[in-house]
Amino acid sequence: MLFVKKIIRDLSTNKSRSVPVIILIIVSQMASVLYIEFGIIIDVSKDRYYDEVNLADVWIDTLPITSAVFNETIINNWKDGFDIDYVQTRLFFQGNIEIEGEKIPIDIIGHPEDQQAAVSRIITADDSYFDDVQNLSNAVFIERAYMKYYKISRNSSLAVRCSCGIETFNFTLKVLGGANSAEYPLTPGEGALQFANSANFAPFLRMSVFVRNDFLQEHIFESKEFYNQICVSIQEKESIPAFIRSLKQDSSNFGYSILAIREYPNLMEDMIDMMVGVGWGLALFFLIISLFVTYTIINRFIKEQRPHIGIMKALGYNNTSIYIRTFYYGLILGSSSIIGIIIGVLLSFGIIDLGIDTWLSLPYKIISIPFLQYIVLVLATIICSLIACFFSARNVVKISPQAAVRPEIAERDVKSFFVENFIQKIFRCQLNPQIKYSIRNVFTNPKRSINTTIILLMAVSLFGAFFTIIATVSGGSTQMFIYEQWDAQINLNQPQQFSDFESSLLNKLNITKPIIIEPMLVDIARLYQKDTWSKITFTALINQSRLKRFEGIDTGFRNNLSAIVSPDLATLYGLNEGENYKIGGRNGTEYQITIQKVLSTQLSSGFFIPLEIGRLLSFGNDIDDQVNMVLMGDIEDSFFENSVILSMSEIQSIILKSELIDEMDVYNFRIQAVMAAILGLLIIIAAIIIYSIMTINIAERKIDLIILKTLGVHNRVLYLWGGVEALFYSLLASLGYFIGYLASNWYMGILQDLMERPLVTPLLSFEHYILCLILVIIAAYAGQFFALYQVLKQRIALVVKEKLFA
Amino acid sequence: MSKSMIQIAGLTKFYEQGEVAIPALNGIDLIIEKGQFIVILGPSGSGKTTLLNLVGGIDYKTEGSIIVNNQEITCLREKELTEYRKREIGFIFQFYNLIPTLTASENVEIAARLKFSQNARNKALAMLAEVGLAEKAHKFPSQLSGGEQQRVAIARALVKEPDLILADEPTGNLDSVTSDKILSVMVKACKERSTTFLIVTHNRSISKLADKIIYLKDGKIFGTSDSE
Repeated sequence: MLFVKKIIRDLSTNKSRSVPVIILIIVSQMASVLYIEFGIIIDVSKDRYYDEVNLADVWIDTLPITSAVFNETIINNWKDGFDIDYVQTRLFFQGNIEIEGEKIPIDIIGHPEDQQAAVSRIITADDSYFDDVQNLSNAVFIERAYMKYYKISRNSSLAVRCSCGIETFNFTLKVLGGANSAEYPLTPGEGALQFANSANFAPFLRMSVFVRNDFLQEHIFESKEFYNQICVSIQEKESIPAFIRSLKQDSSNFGYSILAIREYPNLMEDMIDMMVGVGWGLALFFLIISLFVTYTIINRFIKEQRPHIGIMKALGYNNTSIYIRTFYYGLILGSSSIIGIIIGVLLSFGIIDLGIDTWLSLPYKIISIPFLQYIVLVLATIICSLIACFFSARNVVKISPQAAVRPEIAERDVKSFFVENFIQKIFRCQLNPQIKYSIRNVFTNPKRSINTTIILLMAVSLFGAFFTIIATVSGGSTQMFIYEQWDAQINLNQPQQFSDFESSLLNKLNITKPIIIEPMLVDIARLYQKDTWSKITFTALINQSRLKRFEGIDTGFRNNLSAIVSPDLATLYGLNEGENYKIGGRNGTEYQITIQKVLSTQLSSGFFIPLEIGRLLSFGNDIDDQVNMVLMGDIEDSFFENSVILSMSEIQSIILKSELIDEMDVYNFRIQAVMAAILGLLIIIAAIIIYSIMTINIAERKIDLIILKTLGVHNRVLYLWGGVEALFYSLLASLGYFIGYLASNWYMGILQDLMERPLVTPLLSFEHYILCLILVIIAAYAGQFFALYQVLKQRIALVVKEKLFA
Repeated sequence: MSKSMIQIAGLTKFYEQGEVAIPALNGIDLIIEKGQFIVILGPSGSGKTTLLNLVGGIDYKTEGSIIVNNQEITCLREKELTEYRKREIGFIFQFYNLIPTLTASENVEIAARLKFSQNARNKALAMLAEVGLAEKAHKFPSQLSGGEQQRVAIARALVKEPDLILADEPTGNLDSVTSDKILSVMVKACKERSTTFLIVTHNRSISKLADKIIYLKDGKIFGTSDSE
C-alpha cells in the first residue's frame, strides 16, 4: 500500500508525463470502441433486418407470370421440389401517381407474406410515424424530396393509376409521411441496392411506395400480370452457387429465369468484418504508440528515481520487489483504458446518431456492449504498460546501490557518428561542435531517439491519413469541376427502364424500339436545344467495377471518344491525359478513346465519356451505367431560374447544377466535419504527447544545457539547437506520411463499400506531405521549445545547486 | 579605473524555504585585485558556493552590490548576465561537467566559439596542449581519467581568456598527486595570463598557493590572510 501511495504521488507530481500517457490510452480505447461499436451495430442491425424481412438467399424472376404463383400449392411445390426452407413472393409493378393532373412514375412493391416488412422499416427510422400505422390498408410513405417538391402534406390522398400489362386501374393512397431516399433499401436483395444507388444519384427520378399485400389484393385483379419475384431461403450450410446451378437445371422446364445470388448479406458481412477490423487495427496502432510512450515515460520516472532505488536496495529490497513496484505504474496507467472504453461507448451513442446516417441506411441502430472484447482491450493495454515498465526497470534495477545514489550524471556512451561523418564527407567540411552536439544527442541515446521518432512518425501517419481522407471526401469539389461546365442536367438514369417522361418523349418522337439510346437522346437534344442552350452533350458514366461493360459499348459509326478518367482507372490501365488508346468494342470492332482528363471525382471511379450530339451510343442493360444529358447555355442565373425552370418544369428528372452542388456539399460537409474534428483531436493529442516526449528529451540533458548556459551560451542559441534536433526527428518522422497514405487508402476502400458508391483513390500528394512535415515540425519544435523553456527559465543556481558545484 | 577585479559591498543572500528565510551570506564586504589567486575556506554551509554563484552571475543577491571589472552585475538582466558570463567568467566545477557527447577538444572549442568566431578550433587545441592533453584531444570525457577531465575543464575555462575564473572544489574529486598537477596548471595560468582565480575549497593545501585566503563562517567573513 505504501508503494501504491508513492506511485500515485509520483504520477500526480509529474503531471506533464503521466497525464499525456493517460490521455493517449483513454483516447485510443475510445477510438477503438467507437469502431467496434459501429461494427456491432451493423451486425445486429443486419440480423434484425433479416429476421424482420426474411431476406432471401436467391431471387428468382418469374416474369411474366400470373398471380397464381402465390397459390399455396405452388409455394409448397417450390419448397418440396427444390428442398427450400422458405419461400417469399412479392409483387412489383409500375404505376403513376397523379398530382394536380400530373403523372409521377412510381414503383409499387408488395409483400404478400410479410406484410409489415416495408412499413416497419420506416417506423424504426422515425418513431413519430408509429401512431399512423394503425391504418395501413391504403397508406404509403413517400420520399421526402417528392413531398416537398409537389407540396404533398401528410394525411393527404393521392390518386394512383397503375398499369399492369395492358390494363390500368385507379385507386387512392393515403400519405402517412415522408422517407428519405437514403432509407430506400426497403426491398431486400440486389435490386434494392441498385435502387438505393440510383436514388442517391437521382432523387427526383422515380418514387417507390410500399404497401401491404391485402391492399394490393383488394385493388388489383388476381389475373393481372405482374413482375413477380420469388425469394428463396436455403439452409445455411448449403452452397448457394451449387443451389443456383441445380435450380437452373431443375427449373428450366418451368420457364423461370434466375436472376441473382443475394449478395447483400455477404456485402454486409464484409463491411462488418472491415469495421471491426478497423476498430482492432486502431486499437493495435494506439497500443503500439502507448507502449512506446509508456516506455519512454516510465523509463524517465525510473531513471529519476535511481537514488530511491539505490536507497531501497541498500535497505534490503531485492530486485523482484523493485520490479513489482514499477509494475504498479503500468497497472495504474493501463487501467485508465477502462475510462476510455466507457467514454467510447457513451460517445458511440451520439456519434452514431450524428454520423452513421450520412453513410449508411441502417434498419436498426442497436448498441450492444461486448464486454469480452473490452476486457481483452483493457488487458492488452495493461500488458503493454507492464511490458514497458519491465523494460524500463530492467536497466536500473541492475545497478548497485552505491552507483544509484551517486549524484553525478550517468555517463553516456557515444557510439555512432555515421551521420556526422557522412555530412562532413559530403560537404567536405568540419562540423562545428554545436551541430555535432545536436546530431550526437539524437544517436547517443538510441532508445530515446527511436521512441521519439516512432511517436512522431505515428503522429505524421495519422495526420497523413486524415489529410488524405479529407481531401478524398472533398473530392466532391473536383466533381464540381464538372458541374461548373453545366447549367443543368437531365438524368436519363436506367435508360432501359423508361420513365413516364422518357416514354412520353419516345411517343412524341415515334420511337418504338428504344433499345439503342442514341437516336432518342439526339432527338431529345434537338427538342430542347431551341434557343436556350448553346450546347448539349451527353455524359456516359461507366463505373470501374463495370469496366467489362465499357468494353461492351458499341460506338456505331463513331470511333473516337473522349473521356474523363478517374485516377484509379488511369493507374490501373496506365492511361495518361491527352493520349489516345485503342479499346476493343462489343462486335470485335476497335475504337479510339482520348483521355481528356484524369480527375478525382466522387461521382465515378470509372469513365465519363462526353458524347457529342449526333453520335451513336448503345448501352448495355446494366443499371449502373448512366447517361446524363448536360445542358449548357450562356445565360444569366436569374433568367435561368425564372424562365428555364418554368419552361422545363414538365421534366421531372431535371437537376440544376446548384442542386447537385448543394446535395454534394451536404454530404461533403458532414463527412469533412467529422474527419476534421477527429483530425483536430489527433493534433491536440499528438501535441500533448510530443510535448511530453520532448520534455523528457530535454530533461535528460538538463545538466548539459545548464552547463552551456553557465558558460555563456544565450537562450536563443539553445532554442536554435533544439530546433535542429526537432527538424531532424521530424524529417525522419515525415516518412510516416506514406504509412498514413497507405492506411487511408485501405480505409477509403472500406468507406467506399459502406457508402455503396464509387469513390476515388486519392493521389499521393506532395502538398500533403509538406503539410504533414510542417505540422510535425511545428509540433516537435513547440514541444521542444516549451520543454526548453521550462529548463532555461529556471535560475541556474537553483538547478545546479547540487549538481555542478560541490 | 580601479585595479580591483571584484568589489563586494554589503552582500546579503537569503534563501527562502516556505516562510523561513535562511541566510546564506550576511553583509559580505570584499575587494579582490586583478591577477590574484584567491582561496575561500570555510565549513559546509558557510556560504562559499553562494558567493561563487553571485559573483558568477548565476544567482541573485538579496542586498548589496558586486562590481566585477568595474561593472555592477547585480542589476543586470538575464541576457546581460549571460553576456557577462560569456565575456568575463570561466567556471571550473568539482565534477568537471564536461558535455559527454563532445570530445575533449570539442568541449573546449564550444566555449572558444563563444568568444572567437575565427580559429576557435585551433585555440582549443592550443589550450589543450597547454594543459598537457594535446594527445587526448579526440577522446570523450568517459575515456579520460578524473584529472584529465578536470584539465579539460580548466582548458575550457581558460580558452575564453576570461578575467576571472571561479572554481568550486576543483580538486575535491581527485587524488593528491593529480590535485597538485591541476593546481600547478591553475597557478601557471594565473601568473602568466594575470587571470584572477577565486577558488572555493576544503583543501587546505591549495591555500598554500593563494595570494589571499578568505575565511567564511555562517555567511560572514571572519578573517583573511595572505597565505598559510
